[in-house]
Order: sequence, then C-alpha cells, then structure tokens
Amino acid sequence: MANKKNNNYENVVKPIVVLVVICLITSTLLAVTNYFTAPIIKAQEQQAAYAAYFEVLPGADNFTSVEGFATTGVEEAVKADNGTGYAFKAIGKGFGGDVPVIVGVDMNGVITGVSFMQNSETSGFGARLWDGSADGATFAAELTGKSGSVALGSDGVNGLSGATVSSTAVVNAVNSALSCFAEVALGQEAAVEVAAPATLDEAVTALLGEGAAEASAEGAVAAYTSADGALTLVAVEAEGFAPMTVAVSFDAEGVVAGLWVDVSGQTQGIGTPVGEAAYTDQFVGLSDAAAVDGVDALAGATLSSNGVKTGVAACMEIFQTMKGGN
Amino acid sequence: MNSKVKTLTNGLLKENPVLRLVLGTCPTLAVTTAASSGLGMGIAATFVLICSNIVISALRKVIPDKVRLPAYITIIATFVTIVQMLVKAFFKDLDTALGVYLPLIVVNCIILGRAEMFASKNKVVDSALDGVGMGLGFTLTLVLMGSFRELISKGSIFGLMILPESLDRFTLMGSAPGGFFTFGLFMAIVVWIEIKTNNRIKRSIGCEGCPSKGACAGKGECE
Amino acid sequence: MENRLLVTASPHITGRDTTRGLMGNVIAALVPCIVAAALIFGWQALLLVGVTTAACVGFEYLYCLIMKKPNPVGDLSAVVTGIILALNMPVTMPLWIAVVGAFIAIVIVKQLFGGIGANFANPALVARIALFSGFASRMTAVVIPDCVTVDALSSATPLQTADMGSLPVLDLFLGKYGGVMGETCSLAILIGLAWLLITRTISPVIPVTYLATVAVLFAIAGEPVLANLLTGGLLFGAVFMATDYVTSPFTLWGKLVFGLGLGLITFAIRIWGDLPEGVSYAILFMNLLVPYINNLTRQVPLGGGKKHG
Repeated sequence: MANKKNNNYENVVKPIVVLVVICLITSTLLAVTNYFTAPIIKAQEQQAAYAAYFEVLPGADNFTSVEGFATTGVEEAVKADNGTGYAFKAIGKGFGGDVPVIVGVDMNGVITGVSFMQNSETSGFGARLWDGSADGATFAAELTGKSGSVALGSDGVNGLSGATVSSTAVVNAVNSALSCFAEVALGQEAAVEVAAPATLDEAVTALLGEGAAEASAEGAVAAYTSADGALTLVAVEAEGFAPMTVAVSFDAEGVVAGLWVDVSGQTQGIGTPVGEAAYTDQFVGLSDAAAVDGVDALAGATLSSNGVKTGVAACMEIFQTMKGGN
Repeated sequence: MNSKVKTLTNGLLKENPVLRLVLGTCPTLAVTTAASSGLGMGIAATFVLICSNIVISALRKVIPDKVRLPAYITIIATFVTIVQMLVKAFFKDLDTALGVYLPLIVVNCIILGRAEMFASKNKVVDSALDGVGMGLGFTLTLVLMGSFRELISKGSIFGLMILPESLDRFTLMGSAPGGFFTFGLFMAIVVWIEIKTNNRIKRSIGCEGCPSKGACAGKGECE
Repeated sequence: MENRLLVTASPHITGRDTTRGLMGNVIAALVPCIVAAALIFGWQALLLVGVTTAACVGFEYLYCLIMKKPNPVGDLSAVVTGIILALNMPVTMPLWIAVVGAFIAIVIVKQLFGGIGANFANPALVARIALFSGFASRMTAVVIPDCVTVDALSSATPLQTADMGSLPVLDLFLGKYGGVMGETCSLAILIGLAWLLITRTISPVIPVTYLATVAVLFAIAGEPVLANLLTGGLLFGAVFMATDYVTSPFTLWGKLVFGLGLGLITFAIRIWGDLPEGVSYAILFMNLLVPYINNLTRQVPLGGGKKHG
C-alpha cells in the first residue's frame, strides 16, 4: 500500500508540481523583464517607422499620427511633437505604379525636405529617384523651400530629365502633401479627388445617375437611358493606341452632356490623360461631328485622342439613328 | 582546483562544442557571415548556457526523470526570451544581424546537450564553469570562422577593411557553400592539432554508421 | 603497398590504353580550341591557358608531395583539367583568380576525394561553377573580340538576345562573337570531337544524345535550334566536359539516359530559368546522379543470375 502511494506521488504528483512551479517562476521572470523592456522596444520600432519622416523634417523629435484627413493622394500624415511641422507620405501615379514621396513641411507651409521611397519606375529613368543617384537628390533639393503648390518647369523645378511621367507623379504627390498640410494645419477644406469611374457600369451611374435602364442600339457596345428619360448614353469601342471604350451621354437634343473614356489600355501618363476632365470637357456641349473633329488632339497622344474623337462621332451617329428610328 | 580548471578549459579545444562535439552547427553556419554577428551570437548563447546550466544543476535532484526534457526546455526558453527582449531593447543592430537565429538559441543543441550531459549530473559550481567554458569555446569558434569568412568574402574583419579595395572578393564564402567549406577546414585544423598533441578522441560510430563505408579505402582507420 | 601482386577475377582482358595515352588524345583534341581562342581573343588566351594548366599541375604535384602519395602528374589528367578550366573563362580573367580556380579543381574536387577516378564531379566544371558564384563579375565579363562584324553579336552574349533566330549562323559557327574562350568557335570544337572519335577516346553516345535532345526540345518549343546549339558553351560542354570518364556512366543505356537528362535540364534552365547558361549546372547535376544511373543500368553478366532485390 505504501509503495503504491509512493509511486503515485513519484509518477504523477511530483512531476506536475515541479513543472507547475517552474512555469510559475519563469513566467514571473518573463513578465518582469517584459515590463522593463517593452516600452523601450516599442519606442524603437516607432523610431524606425518614422525614420523617413525624421529625414525630411530634421528638427523634429518625435511624431504623432494625424487621423481623419480627407485629402486624396496622401497615405499618412504625422505631426511633430515639438511643433516644428508636419510630414506626409504622398503617392503619385507614375509610369509603373505608385510613386511614394515623403514631404516635410514646416509650420509656415514651406517644404523642409523631400525623400523618395522605393518605386517600380523604369530603371535608369524614374528609378533614379530612389536608387541613390545624384539626380534624385537634385530633384529633392529643387522642391525644398517651395510652398503653396509646385509645378514642373516653373520656379526651378526641373524634375528628372527624360522621366517626365515619373517627375509629374512626384509633383502631383508633393501638391497633395501641400494641400493636406493646408487641411490639417490651416483648417482649410480638403482637396478630395473623386475617383474617376473605372468601368462602364460606374460611368453609367456617374453620367446618368441611379436606376438607368438598358436600351438597344445597333452598332453600340451598350446603350442606357436615365431613370427620368432625359439623358441617353451610348457606348462604342474605338481604336486609340489600343482599343478603348468611349461612352457619351446625350440630352434630348443630341447635345453631349457627358463623356467617359476607358483609358486602361492606353500608355500610362501619355495616352491616359485623354480620359481626364481637362480633355473630355472639350466635348461637352458639342452636337455634331464637325465640331468633334475640330477638337485638338492631346500633345503626344495623337492615337489616343483620335480614338476619343472617332468614338464620340460614332456615338453621335448611333444616337441620331436611335432618335430617328424611334 | 585542477579539475575546476579542467572543466573550464574543456570547452575551448578538447571538447569544443562546434568543432569536436559537432553541436550547434546550424547557427554556426548561419551567423558566421561576419565576425561581429558571430561574437554577438556567442555572447548571447553563452549567457543562456551559463544561466540554464546553473538552474538545471540546482534543480537536478528535484526534477523527476520523466519530465526532465520539458523542464529543461522551459528553463532554457525563458532565458532565451529574456535575452531576446534585452537585445531588442538595447542592442537593436545585433537583433537585426542575428534575426531569427536569436530565438533559435532555444533549440541550440549545445545548450540542451550540456544540460543533459553535464548539468544534470554535476554540482552547480562545476556546471557554471562548464557553461563558461563551452560558451567561450563556442564564441571563439564563431569569431574565428566569422572573421575568416568575412575576410575572404568582404575583405574586412569586424567592419575594418583589411584587404585592398581593388582585390576581388570571393563572395561564395559569404554564402552557404562557403560556410560548409570553412566548417570543414576548421574541423580539419582541430583534428590536426589533436593528432599532433596525441589527443585523438575515440569516435564511436564505427564503420557501420559511416556514410562513406562503401567507398572507403582504409576501412577501420577512423577508429 | 605497391609491391603487392595484383589479383583479380577472370576474365582477364588487357588493353593498350593508358591514362596518359587517353589524356594525350584529349589534349590533342583541345588544341584546335586553344588555337581558335588565341586567334579570336588574342595572345592573352594562351597566357591564361598556360598559367591555369601550370597551376593545376603544380597543385597536384605539391599535394601529393605533402600527403606522401605517389606522384600522378605523369598521367596528364591535371593538364586536361587545366586546359578545360581555362577555356571556360573569359580572356580578361585575372591570373590569380585562375589559380584559385585551379586550386579548387585539383585539390578540393579531385585530390581531397581520393585522386583520379574518385572525384564525384568533373573538377574543371565544379571549379568553373565556384568561380562563377564567387567572382561573378569577372566570369561574366563581356569580351567582344575584334573580329566581330555583326551588330547583334557585339553586345553582351548572344544567348541574351531576344531574337536569336536572326543571328548569322556562320558567324556563330566560326566563333565571331563574345563569350568565354572555349565556347565560341564551334568549328574548333567539332574538329576536336572528330579527333576524339577517330582515336576512339570517347564514345559518341553522350554528345550525340545530349545535342539531339536539346535540338528536339528547342524545335518543339519553337525556338531557333541552330543558334541555341552553337552558343552558350553547349558544344564545348557536350564534347569535353560531359564525356569525362570518371563522372559519366559506363554502359550504353547509362550513357543514353545521361545524355537525355543533360538535354532536358539544359533546356529547362535556358527556357524557364533566369540563367542564360544551363550547361554547367546540367552536367553537375547529372554527374551527381551517375552512381544511381550506373546501378540501374548495370548489365547482367553473361550467364549470370537475376539481380538481388
């Protein structure tokens, strides 16, 4: 009997007790060490994350994140704790995708520093921003000291030679940072860019409103009428640099009310601007093919521009047939 | 006193954990790309080794045989975590250099191996000395191998440029094949020292366990 | 040790081949390549070949002297290794790196593993790969010979050209393009191959199978066949490196499998891999598989029983 009890103690109770005690002691040790080291580690990680911001706003000591800003094109905004200014991580659309730019702005709205993060721009062209070459540093220096807004080709901002698209992306990013500064520091209204419609369906909603009904039109890719019947939309496939969808909305008299172009197949930065308001607005208010022909092609994007023009003309013709046939 | 000194110096050459006992080869190959990482890893592992040896030796009569491995691992893991937290907080660069191999000290065969082979059977002071000796041997080996590899693959030792810039670097030494080659070279040197000082350790695998037994020209000569 | 009588089981067949004789034939076969390299790349080619070969022979002699082994230098195998290794380098290779390569080939790959007959892979090949990994910029240095007349062949290596079908085949054949010393002049390699076949030093099975496999695979994939065959060290590797006795199978079936495997791996690396050059890794990989190939294709002795297991 005594033996069995001993065995039980040896085989079951003692191991459990020993292990539990060991675990208790080790947990305590770990908790104590953690208590002392965790804050230090956290501070260091913050430092590392904010390393880029320290680079562009040298006078700052530590940053706090700024929440709830609405300016588009800015991914992160931080404010220096000692009031030396703000720093922003802004994104511009470049040749190969996003071009991230870190901008430091002092309390007067003057840029204190600019640094470029890794991007996927073309090696030897836009990649010079971040690959350590002198060109990137020169560009950054050109931007430092500016305020309000910047533009390529004015006020000493030359950008990267031969990399216009990437340089434009940088300028756009810097401007976004500056407008964000206006928003968070000066309390001005945020410059929010409404995202352009990316698909035909989104364009239909944007141009005709909700509840548009499908209509039939020969020769068109698609046709819709708005819920109240006042507007009609015709969409065709046109040939630009690459095939593009052109959708035109007409009012009852056949005057162009709105225009959407799917520029996803055109060359980024060169042909894609034909889809932007600056170009498409020229077609609003036109009502015949001759007027459409009179619209200038966008510099350097002849094929894409012609695609838009032929597309609009084709939509007009189809609309006339629709109206006439009705 | 003599035996204490013997325990201490054992780990340096005669029973060098990396080159003679062939323990802890994984972190050895991984962190010896530079001398400074080797030194950092060595110091971290030595600290863990000494602490775990002391504790395990102190508890050797208390821990039941059935649960000795879980108990050892718990103790070792605790010390490794403490070291990791301290390194992350105060030596950030070392943390980046060692990367995942810092937490991997938990499964470093040297520590578990010495706990099993020595600390569980010897007194606290002896175990502590053994920890110091083994740790020193480990660190020394790491620093030497690291310096060798760093010198040939980057031209520097501890960051100090030794070889002239114009001399091409043999970058292969900085990667895995170079690691194995250095390891083999150092082992050969240690065996050579062993032979010269008539200190050959008897290797107990025998011909049966040897992978080269089919092609071996001198059967039985390894014994 | 050396006084023991040699006792072997019957059948006792002797031949007149000696290692020295075989190696001598290989050296003779390599001479056209050396000459072509000198013509295309200049006299530095001869210097590089000479230094590498001298280093190989020197290391072998020194090693055996220090290790108190009988001196094998007379069998000329170190000379062959030296020449092949040199021809695998661009002519601008610094001489001391060539010596390092010789050390790797002779001391590490050959002697440390047991000397001639016991190396696990072709020594020159492994040394070439080691140099490629360790001194990458030196090994891939682009050397455009003066006699290049075609634009497409005057930049980088032809293997990296996008449209290989448009490269002039005659220029590729005669070696008028940039690359390492031995791989460019296909004509010289083929002369060497002819000599090796005439003197029955090697069997044609491996080179023919290798090249045929590559040709067929590239034809199926729609890539230009001739341009691929004539560039990238394929011919040189197929004739001189894949046929090394120690590291290739000894039965006919084994050789066929070997050649097939080589072709497959080379094709795969060239088409899908990032490397422009698949030959050296293909040969290394197949070298490692040779013991298994030998086991699987072992011929049953005449009248012998079934294999065990």
